Amino acid sequence: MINYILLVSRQGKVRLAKWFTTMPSKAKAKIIKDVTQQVLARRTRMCNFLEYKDTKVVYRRYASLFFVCGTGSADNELITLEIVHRYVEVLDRYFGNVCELDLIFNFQKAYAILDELIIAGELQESSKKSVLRVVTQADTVEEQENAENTMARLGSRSGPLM
Amino acid sequence: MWERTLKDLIRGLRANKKDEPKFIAKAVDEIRSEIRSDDMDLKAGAVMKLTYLDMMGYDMGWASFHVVEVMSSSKYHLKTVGYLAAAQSFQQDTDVLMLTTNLLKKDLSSNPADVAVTLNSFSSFVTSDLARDLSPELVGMLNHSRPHIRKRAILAIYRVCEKYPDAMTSARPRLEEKLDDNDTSVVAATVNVLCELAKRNPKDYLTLAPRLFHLLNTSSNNWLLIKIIKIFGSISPHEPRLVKKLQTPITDLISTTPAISLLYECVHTCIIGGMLQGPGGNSLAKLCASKLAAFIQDPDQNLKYIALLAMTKIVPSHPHLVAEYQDTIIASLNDQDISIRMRALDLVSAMVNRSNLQSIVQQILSHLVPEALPKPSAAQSLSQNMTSSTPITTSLAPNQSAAYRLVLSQRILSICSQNTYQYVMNFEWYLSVLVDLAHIANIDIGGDIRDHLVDVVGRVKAIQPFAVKVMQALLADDSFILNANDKGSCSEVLWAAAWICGECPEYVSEPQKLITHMLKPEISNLPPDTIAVYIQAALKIFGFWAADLAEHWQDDYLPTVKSTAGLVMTHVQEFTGNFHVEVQERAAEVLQLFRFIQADLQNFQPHGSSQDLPDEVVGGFDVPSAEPHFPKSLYLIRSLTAAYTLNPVAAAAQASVPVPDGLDLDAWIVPPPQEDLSEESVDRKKKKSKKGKEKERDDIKRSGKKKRKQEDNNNLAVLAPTEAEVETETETERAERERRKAERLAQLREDPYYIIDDKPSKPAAIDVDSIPVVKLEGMGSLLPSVKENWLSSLKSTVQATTSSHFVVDREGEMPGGSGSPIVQPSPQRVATPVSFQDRSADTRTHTPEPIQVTRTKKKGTGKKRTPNPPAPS
Repeated sequence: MINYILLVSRQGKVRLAKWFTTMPSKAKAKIIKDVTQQVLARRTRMCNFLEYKDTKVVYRRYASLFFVCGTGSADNELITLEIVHRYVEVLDRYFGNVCELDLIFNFQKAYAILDELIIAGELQESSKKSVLRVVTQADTVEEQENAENTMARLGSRSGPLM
Repeated sequence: MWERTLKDLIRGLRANKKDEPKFIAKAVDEIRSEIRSDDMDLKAGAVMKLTYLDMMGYDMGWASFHVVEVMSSSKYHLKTVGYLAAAQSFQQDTDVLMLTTNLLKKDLSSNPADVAVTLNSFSSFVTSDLARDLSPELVGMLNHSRPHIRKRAILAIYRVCEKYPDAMTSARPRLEEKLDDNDTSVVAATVNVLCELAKRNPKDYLTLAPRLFHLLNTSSNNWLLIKIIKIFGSISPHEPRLVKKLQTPITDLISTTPAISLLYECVHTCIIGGMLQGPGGNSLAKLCASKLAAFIQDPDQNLKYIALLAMTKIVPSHPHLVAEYQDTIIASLNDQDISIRMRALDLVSAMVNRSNLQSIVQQILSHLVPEALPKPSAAQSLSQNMTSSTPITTSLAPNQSAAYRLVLSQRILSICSQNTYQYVMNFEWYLSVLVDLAHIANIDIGGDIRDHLVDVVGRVKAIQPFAVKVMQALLADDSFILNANDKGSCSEVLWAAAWICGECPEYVSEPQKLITHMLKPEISNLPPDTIAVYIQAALKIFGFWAADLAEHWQDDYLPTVKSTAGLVMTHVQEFTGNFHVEVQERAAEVLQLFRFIQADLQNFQPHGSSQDLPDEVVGGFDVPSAEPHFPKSLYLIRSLTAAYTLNPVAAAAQASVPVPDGLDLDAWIVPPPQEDLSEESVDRKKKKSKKGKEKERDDIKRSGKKKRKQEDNNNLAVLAPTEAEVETETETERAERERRKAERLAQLREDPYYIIDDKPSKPAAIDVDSIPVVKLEGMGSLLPSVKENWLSSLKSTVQATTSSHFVVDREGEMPGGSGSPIVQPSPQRVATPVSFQDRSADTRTHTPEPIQVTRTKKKGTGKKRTPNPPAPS
C-alpha cells in the first residue's frame, strides 16, 4: 500500500501532501524534508526508485513537479509508478494540460481527485472516466449551491457583499 | 469587510516571498477573526486557507473545532472543505474527534455524495474509538446499493480493522462475498484489502485460494491480477499444493503478458512463494532468470533496478542461473545511479563464491580509490559511456558520499569474512585488501578493519610471516600517526599492527628498528589503547630478540643490547606519566622489567665472568639454561610473554566454563559502606558494581590480548597477601558482612526504583576475593580441568574462536566448513588445527598469481582493475 503521496516543486516546495498512515506531524515533517532532499538530488536518466529507511520511495517528475510516493518495501514499484501516472492523467484531463499553477490555486481539487483515485493507500478506481465523472459532478453541485447562495443573499440583503 | 480568498492568499504568498513569515502571521490573524464568524461561507474559506498553510508546515491544530463546524455544514461544497481539512490536519489525539461520532453517523446515512466524501476523509483520521463506534455502520455499507459507495466502504473498513481488530469478525464474511461482486472496481478494492490483510496473517486467508484462483484465470484487469498474484505470493509458502497448481497459470502469464509490472509481480511471486524449488521449479527459474536478465540489459533504469532486486532473491536457490550474467551485474556497480549501485552491491555480495571473490572485491575497492587517480575514473567513464552519455563528474559523485563509502567498506569486510572466510582462498591477498582499505577508505571503519586483521592472523597461522611483514611496513609509515586524530583516518589498524608484531615476534625482520619506530614520541598522538598495545608489543619484540641473541651469544652484542634497552627505557619513561591509566600501568610495568635487565647487563662481565652475577637478581626466574656466557636476564621477557601459544577460541568457550563452586558474582568485592540506606548510596552502589564488572571484563580482555601470562612472580607475591587477608577475616567480620548484606537486600526490596534479582543469592557467601583471581596465576589449587578451561576462555574473549585447548573449541568455529569433528580422548588438539592446515595449504597452492595482483595494487591502486576489466558488452 501507499503510505504517502507528495507533490514537490523543483524548489522543494510542497504542493500537495497526502498521508495514508497515521503519524505524528513531526515525523511527517522529517520524512518530507528527507525525501524531498533525496529526490531533488536525483538526476535525469536515473531510475525512479529510492530507498528511505525501510520504505521505498517511488517518484517521477512531470514538468516542474515531482510526484513522490512512499510505499512498503514489498510493494510493486512499477505499479506504483502506474498509479502516479494515472493520477497525472486525470489531473491533465480535468484541468486541460495541467501545470503547477493549476495545482497551486486549486489544491483542494487536486486532493479531491486524489481521493477519488486512492483511499486508505489503495487504488479504489482505476478508470479515469469514473473518477472524472465524480469530480465534475461535485463541481456541478458546488455551482448550484453557490448560485442558490447568491440568490439567498440577494434576497436577504440589498445586494451582494462585494 | 474585504476578506481575502484562498486565491488572494496564494497570490500574496507568491508576492511576498521575502518576508513570508510576516505575511503569514498577518494572514493567520485575519483567519482567526474570519473563522469565528457566523457566516459559514466565510468560516469555510478561512478553514480552506488554513489547510493550505498547514500543507506548508504551519500548525492548524488550534482550529480543529472550527473544522468540525464546517464539516457539519449542510452544503455539500462546504462539507468537502471541512472534511478535507479534517483529513489533512487531525491527529490521533485531536480531542474534537470525540465530538464527531454522531456527525459521522449522520453523514454516513445521508445522500451518496455526502457518504462518499465522509468515507474518503474518515479513512484518514479514523481512531480506535471511532472505529469501534462506527464499525457496524461501515459493515452495513459493504452491501450498499451503489458500487462506488461499496468500494469506498471496503477500503475504509480496512483502516477500521487496523484500528479496531474486533471489527474483523463481522466484516470478514461480507468482505469475502465482495470477491464475487458484479462491479469490477468493487472486486479490485476487495482484492487490495485482502492483499494487505493476507500479508499479515497469510494462513488465515488460505481458504480464499479457490476464488482467487478463479479470478486469476478469468480476469484480464492487470491492476487486479497484480494484487491477486501478490496475495498468492503471501499465502503459497503455507500451502504446497497451491504452489503446484499455480505453476501453469503463472508460467503462462510470464510468457504472454505484455505488461512489465505484471510480469515482474509474477516473477517476484515465483521467488517468494517458493515456486522455484518444487518439481518443475527449475524451468520456471530459468524462465524468470532469462526475463530478469533482459531487464538488466534494458536501457530503462527502472527495469534494471527491479531486475537486480529480484535476482538477489533468486541467488540463494539458483546461484548458477544468476552467475551467467555476472559481467553485466558487476558492470552495474559502476552505474551513476546510487539506487542501482546499492542493488547491484547487494546482488554481487550474494553471488560471491571462491572463484569470483577477488575480482568482486577489487571492483568494490576500486570505487573507494580517490578520484584524483586518473586511471579508475577513465576506465569508469569508459564503462559509463557504454550505457549512457552522462559526464564523468556526475557518474563519480556517489563515490564521495560518506554513507556510500561506509557501505562499500563494510561490504568488503562482510563478504570476505562470511562463514569464517569461507570464500577466501588467498589470505595474503585478503590482508593486502584490508591494509589497502585502511589507506583509502577515508571513513570511520578502522575499528572493524582492526578486528578483522587480528582475527585473520589469529586463525590462519600460515599467514603470520606475511602479516608481520605488512604490519611492520604499516608501523613504519608515519601517515597514520599524523592523521590519527582526523575522522576516517583508520588509525585503529595500528593497534592491530602492533598487536600482530608483538604476538609473532619471530617473524619481525628488524626488531631493533621496529622497537624504535614503536616507541618514538609521536605515538602519543594515538589513542591510549593503541599506545598501550604499542608498549606491550615493543616489550614482546624486545623479549624475543634478546632471547634470540642470548642463544647465539657473542660478547659484541652487549653494547647493542644495552643501547636498545636504554632506548626503550628512555621512551617508556615518558609514558609512565601518561594521563591514561592503562598506558601508565603498562609503561610502569615495562620500565620495571627493563630496570632489572639493565642492572643485569651492567653487572655482566664479558668472557664468561657472569658467575659474579649476584644470584638474587635473576634468581626468581626459571631460566632454561644456566649457561654463564650471556646475561641471563635476556631470557626474562620471553619466558613471561611466550609461555603459551596463541590460539583462537570457540565462540561458545566462555559459556562452557563452569562457574566455580561458591563463586557468588553478586557478592561485593569491597563491602559497601555501612550507612547504606539513602537513595544516594543505592546509586553509588550500582555504579560501583558496574565498575567492578567493567574491571573484570577489562582484566579478561587484557589477558586475552596478551594471551600470555605477563604477570610475573613478583605480582604473585604482591597478590598473595591479599588472599591471606581474606583468609584471616574473622568469623565475626563475616557475620557482620552477611547481616549488612541482608539488610541491604531488604532495603532494596522496598525500593520501587530498584529491581532485584529474585534468585536467592548463593548461601555460602564466599566472596570473590577468595576465589580464582589469585589462584589463576598461582595454579594448582583448583581442579585441573576447571583451571584449564578458565585460562583458555580468558584468553578467548578478544579472539573468539577455535583453540586447541578444550573441547568446545572443536565444536566452535570450523572455518573451512569441515564436517563434524573427530571425537577423541583429546580431540581438541586434533580437530581445529587440521582445518587450519587445510586452509594454509590452500593458501600456499594459490598464492603465486593472486599475490602478483596484490602487489600491483599496492604500488599504485590505479592498476587494481587490470585483473578484471569491467568490459561492458
